[in-house]
Amino acid sequence: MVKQLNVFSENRPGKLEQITGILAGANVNILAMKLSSNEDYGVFQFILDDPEKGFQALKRAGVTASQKDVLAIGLEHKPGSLHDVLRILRQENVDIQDCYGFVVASEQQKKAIIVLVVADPAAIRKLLNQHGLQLIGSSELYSL
Amino acid sequence: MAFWDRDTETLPRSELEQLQVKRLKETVARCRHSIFYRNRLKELDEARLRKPEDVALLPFTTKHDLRLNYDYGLVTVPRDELIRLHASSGTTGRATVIFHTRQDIETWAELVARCIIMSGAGKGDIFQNIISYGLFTGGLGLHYGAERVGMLTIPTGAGNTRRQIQLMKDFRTTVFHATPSYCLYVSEVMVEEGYDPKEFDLRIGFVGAEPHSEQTRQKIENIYDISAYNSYGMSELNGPGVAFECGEKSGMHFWEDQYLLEVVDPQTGEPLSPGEEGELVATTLGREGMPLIRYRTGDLARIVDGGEPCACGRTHVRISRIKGRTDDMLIVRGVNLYPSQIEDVLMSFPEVATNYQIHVGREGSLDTLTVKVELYPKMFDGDLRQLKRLEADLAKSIQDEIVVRPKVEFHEPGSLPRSEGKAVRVVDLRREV
Repeated sequence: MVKQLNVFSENRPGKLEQITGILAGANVNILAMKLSSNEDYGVFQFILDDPEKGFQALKRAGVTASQKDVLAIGLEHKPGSLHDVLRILRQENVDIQDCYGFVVASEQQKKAIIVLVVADPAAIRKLLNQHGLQLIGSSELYSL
Repeated sequence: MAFWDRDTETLPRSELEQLQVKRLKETVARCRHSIFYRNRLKELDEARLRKPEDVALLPFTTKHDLRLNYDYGLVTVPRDELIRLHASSGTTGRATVIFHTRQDIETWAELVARCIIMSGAGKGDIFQNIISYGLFTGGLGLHYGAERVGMLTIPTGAGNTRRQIQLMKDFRTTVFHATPSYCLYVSEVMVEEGYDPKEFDLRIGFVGAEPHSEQTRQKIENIYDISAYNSYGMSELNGPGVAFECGEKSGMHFWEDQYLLEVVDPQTGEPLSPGEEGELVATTLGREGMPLIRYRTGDLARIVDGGEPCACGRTHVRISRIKGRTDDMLIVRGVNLYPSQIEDVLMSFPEVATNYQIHVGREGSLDTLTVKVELYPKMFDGDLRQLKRLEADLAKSIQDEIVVRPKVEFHEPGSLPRSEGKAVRVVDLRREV
């Protein structure tokens, strides 16, 4: 299981700068991030290379944050990879709460990672394993 | 000059005061039947009440007393003689409840009838009652008085503005009752619809439930080309019909045959001299079901007679506009509410921390209410949907308690202002209406 860090923020200038500053100060690296918001406030979502460290640093700075278990699926970085996964999820009637992706490149390879947020990650992980999908564990993800 | 009850309304002062003393004694005797007053009046001998000022020998009654004795604690008649109940907003421990017998409803209607006739309205007029019905006393209070004098009464209550305007047009309404802010709002919608407020058949407006300035009254009169009358009341004293302006519009006549009025220092409770600003205290003189002795209204005002009789001929004392409150009660869109009611609702949500602020503002003519809360970090799920749901739940729960629907704003912990001493819970950004 992989941890996603959620950060509550009022919709005011300088908030992202503040949050990224705290993470930088704690020497935490951001693998992926996105933002969901409305006019008044929003929630930043981060995949960090050290989520616990990032969470504690934000907490110490008085920032409202929480951690959530999410699924990370490893895919070949080529057209159709994501669609194949989604076909399986639809077949199994999985309700997707949130979904986003990023690419990790190294000397050896390029890999696509899809982050999936569902209500019951443990159950869906079992399901995806049955379909032969490669789930990325936290230690592997954080060392990419 | 029209009077509904000329004899009572123009009773010479000496006779009026004798009447007050007589009724005060009757009220005290009646109150001995209630659980609440029984012990409090044990030591008192009615014979000591010889002039109106002697009312100061009696104990005060406060809103707190009414809340604590929420059910039948102040009732003085057998329960099956009570035919009406009115209540303020709030759940048990917060609401104040007033019970009425048939006679109480009768008397109340008579008082309202006096006010209506005093304004020049009457039989032949078409009256639109644009104030909430239900547990609020504004709606039914005026309604009964309006029917009593014989006006064709349209019981719209408040809201559904376009429909209000349509009815005014179709049925050629001549008189209405509304809060000052809703009154102005209706005129704005009239203009939006392409009408000139002056083109309607309106000629008289009863304006109340919210304190408002002389400028606002004149603004209403100019916009509609009507004569607007200030109306004062509170549910504890029935509702509307406690005090009302006459054609002279120099103060509101307080019906002294039904209420013994005092103006006291809010801190000490000591009676003040006529003309000094203080807290209005009223003792009901005719109420049967639930009479009140020296009820602390919480409203600040002063007597404006200066000892001079009013040119209209009525001898009952006149009070100024209400200047403010002795407590933290707010009036938003004509509804009374206390910040503590909102606080109680917030406390029942674990997601919300203890720091909050209530901002009252105005958009156009209508009051706005915003409740700013800090999220409690431990309870933050991380989901935008959770927050939206929480926002909706909070707004609905607060509305269930105070009737007015607020906007709920989430703020980061520590971001709302904190003060060294007493927390500033309410920020009222409205300029005087």
